[in-house]
Amino acid sequence: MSKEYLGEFEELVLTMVGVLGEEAYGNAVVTAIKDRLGRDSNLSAVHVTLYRLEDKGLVRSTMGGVTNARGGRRKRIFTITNAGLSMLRTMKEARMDLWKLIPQLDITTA
Amino acid sequence: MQRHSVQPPAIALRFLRWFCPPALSEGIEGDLLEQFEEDCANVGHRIARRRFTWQVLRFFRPGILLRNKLSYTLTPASMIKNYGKVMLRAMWKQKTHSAIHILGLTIGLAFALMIGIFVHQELRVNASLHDVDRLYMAETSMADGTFWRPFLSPAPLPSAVTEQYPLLFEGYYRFWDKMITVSREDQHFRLQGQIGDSTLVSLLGLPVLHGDAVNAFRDTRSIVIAKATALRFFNRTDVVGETLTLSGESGDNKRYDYTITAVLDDLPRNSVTDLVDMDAQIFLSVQKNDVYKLNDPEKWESGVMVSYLRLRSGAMRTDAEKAIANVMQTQAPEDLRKLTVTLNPLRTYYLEADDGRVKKLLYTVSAIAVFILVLAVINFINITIGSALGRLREIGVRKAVGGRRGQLIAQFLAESSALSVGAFLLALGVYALARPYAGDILGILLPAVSDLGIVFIGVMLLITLTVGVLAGAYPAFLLSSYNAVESLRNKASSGKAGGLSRSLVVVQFILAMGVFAFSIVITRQVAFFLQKDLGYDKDYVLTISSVPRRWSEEGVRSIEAARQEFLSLPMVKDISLSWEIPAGNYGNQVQCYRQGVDEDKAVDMPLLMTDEHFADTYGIPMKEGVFLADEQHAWHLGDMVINESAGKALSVNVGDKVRIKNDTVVFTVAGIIQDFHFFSLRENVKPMAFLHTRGTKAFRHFSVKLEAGNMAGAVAAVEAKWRQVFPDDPFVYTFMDQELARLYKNEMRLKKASGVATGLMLVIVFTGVFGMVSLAVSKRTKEMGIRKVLGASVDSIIVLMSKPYLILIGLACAVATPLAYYFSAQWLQAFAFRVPLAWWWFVVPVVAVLGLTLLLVAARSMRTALANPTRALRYE
Repeated sequence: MSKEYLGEFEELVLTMVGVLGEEAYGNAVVTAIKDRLGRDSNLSAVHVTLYRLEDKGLVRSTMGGVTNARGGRRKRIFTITNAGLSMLRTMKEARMDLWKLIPQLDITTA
Repeated sequence: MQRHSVQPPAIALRFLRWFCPPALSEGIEGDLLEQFEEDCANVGHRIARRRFTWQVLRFFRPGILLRNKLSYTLTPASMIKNYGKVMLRAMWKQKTHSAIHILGLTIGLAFALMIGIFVHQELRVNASLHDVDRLYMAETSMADGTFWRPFLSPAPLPSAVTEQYPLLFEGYYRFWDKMITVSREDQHFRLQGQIGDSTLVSLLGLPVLHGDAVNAFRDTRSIVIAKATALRFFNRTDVVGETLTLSGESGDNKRYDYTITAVLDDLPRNSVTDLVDMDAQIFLSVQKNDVYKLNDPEKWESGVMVSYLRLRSGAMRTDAEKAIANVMQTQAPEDLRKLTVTLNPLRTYYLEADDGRVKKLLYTVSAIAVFILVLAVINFINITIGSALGRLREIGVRKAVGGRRGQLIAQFLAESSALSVGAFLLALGVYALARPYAGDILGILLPAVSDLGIVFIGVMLLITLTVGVLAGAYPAFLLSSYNAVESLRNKASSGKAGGLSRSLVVVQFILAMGVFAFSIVITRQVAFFLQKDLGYDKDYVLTISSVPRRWSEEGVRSIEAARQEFLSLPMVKDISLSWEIPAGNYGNQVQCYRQGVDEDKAVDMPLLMTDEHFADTYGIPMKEGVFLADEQHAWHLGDMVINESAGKALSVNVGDKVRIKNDTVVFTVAGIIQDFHFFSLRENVKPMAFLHTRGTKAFRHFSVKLEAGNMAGAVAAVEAKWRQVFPDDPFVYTFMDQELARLYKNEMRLKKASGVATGLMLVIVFTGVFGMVSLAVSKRTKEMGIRKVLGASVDSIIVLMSKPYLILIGLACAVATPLAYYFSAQWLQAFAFRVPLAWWWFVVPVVAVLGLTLLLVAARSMRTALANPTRALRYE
């Protein structure tokens, strides 16, 4: 039913926000993408994507606590919402359904 | 603390704070600083600082910049749809007013569009020439008085300066103009030719359609022609190698075959091939020429030519002029040294020539176009304010349910912009329909809508939107300022707007009356030009310009024999053979002095070459003596006729001896002719001298005086005779009065344009007044009912309704009349002969505006005033 689609990068960022849990902010997402996928992403692109996801209601943001690092600036912490989780789930299921139709990828017949 | 010793670039940080929405800035800054600190540790602070700046720049993107700037979440599509619907409903509810809005704007924009194209085209004249900013025309002036023709300069000057100062001058093009009869088989046309330097194409960068651009004049008999000429003779443009036959001027009726070496594409208007509207069609080389008797352009005695010079890039015009002055002083013969030759930039030549006549015309028509737009905008403002009460409820509701003032302003501005864009589209339609007539009035070819060009449409659209916003701004701010509760109760008054409306109407009246009066002045002056007694009779004179150039003794004799043939036609009263016709154009300028007087006292005057029938044909009375010859007096070679002014200037009488400078012949004054207006009425009568064509052996025109009556029949008869007498020459003719009208082309254009503008302005003003009156009437219906019940007469009610307008017109009249008087007097200053300003020219516009306004008011309020008061009282 969902008419909303996520772009590849949006999906990646959304997943990372889920992965990082309470520690998801701009830099952390960039680092996580680099560490886990070995992929370089730009900070500004990640920020814009996060805001877009927030507009769509898939993540929520709050300001974190004050620290000494970061020139005293607080972090904007993103958490995945239920809508975000269900979006990820729908996408995964849709993908799995399609995967089953590809004979070479079908685990059962392998 | 240690870690803070290395700071990120302050500029980058400031930039980030400037563009970043405040809500986001802390999180973004934090992330950037964190990365920066990490980079400092890993790669050193120099690279870290660079990376920081780069990262900041990458944040400068729409996703960040526009965040929370566009209220798209707050103005959903349904709201915009609602605005559109409400606008259409409001327009529909007040059809008259909407029609007035749109009509005014459409007229204004269509007019502005045409004027815009006209001005644009006039400004573009010469712009197409290659590197026009380095092209100059050599202009001549004299310390005492003006030179014969400022655009002529000593022939060898360009080549002399270019040779001596190669670092200043890059090249030149000079020409002599000549009308030549060109034939191919049985087709004969008289075409304007230029006999000039071979640099024609290379110096000016004229577009070559076919043929050799580099070396077009390689042979003695090579000719370059314009595209129109190719089409005229061959019906195609690819005619390189074809032959055209040109008539010579040696008197033996010889013709010469020329080979076409290049065809020039249609030339955009320029002051070279189209100087003084000559529209040159064929081009020959002056160096290779062996057919036409021309002087050698490299000799100082050869007279004057039209010359264009190109300076080297970086060369200063002042230096070039100094170089020219130097060459004039060192190389030119004694008598030419009193001439000063200056360089006039070709880019502005067309606009500035003749005391900036074209430029003034452009200013005038642009001002008129702006006036018309102003009138339309005022209509819009007045009627929107006036009818605002009808929308007060809407404003109240919108405010009550949470509409912000900014939203209301945006809504009203968008409405007026949408209306003006609509009007613009209509204006394009009007333009497409009116194009042929308007082009005729302005004397240019207006391009089709599809050929207007994106940039032009874009600029017009921008003007349209500006007009829309200007028109909508005041109403938008006013309407949105009403208090929600008061507007819901329909209690808000438009009191403060009333004063503005009235003053705007005064502005409208001022502009309309002013332009009206100015248009009358122009019309009177043009009529004066065409009706003034010019000292000769221009009526029923047919001038034929294609008389074969048989410039020899036998030639003159054969043409004089031909004259007798034409004279035998019953409707022909008289015929004169001459070089000039009295329309300002003449062939020679001489310096005359009375024999025995010092040569330096010689007076410059045009020398006209005519036969002895010239005075009779044009009905110019003699003051004394005979015009070259009559029954008693046979013509002698030394006979000369002068006009009264020349008689006074030289202080000579009939029988006195007169000399022409650099001429050995001693002339005798055979007669003195009364002064007549050979030149346009912009100029005073000058001294003039006449010599017989038989002596000068040069002529161009037949002037045929016809009997009043059937002109078409007479022309046909003359033409039939022409075919018989000169079978190999075209019959090219005009009537003298048409020829004269050409002299006043600019004034005619202005007359027509201002006439049309006056009509349009009156339409806009009166539709506006009509709209305001109907608003006032509908607002005061109840009041009128009460007045009638209490015994007011119909007259008194109409007087009551018209009173405010009387005051406004009075005010407008007080401002407009002096202004119109001032500008008219200024405009007339440019003419040596002008109509005296008459008081009624300024009264007519006032009376017309007053009368029409009263009529409108009366007509509009009559119905309500006559109606049964009970109905008016129940009116809601």
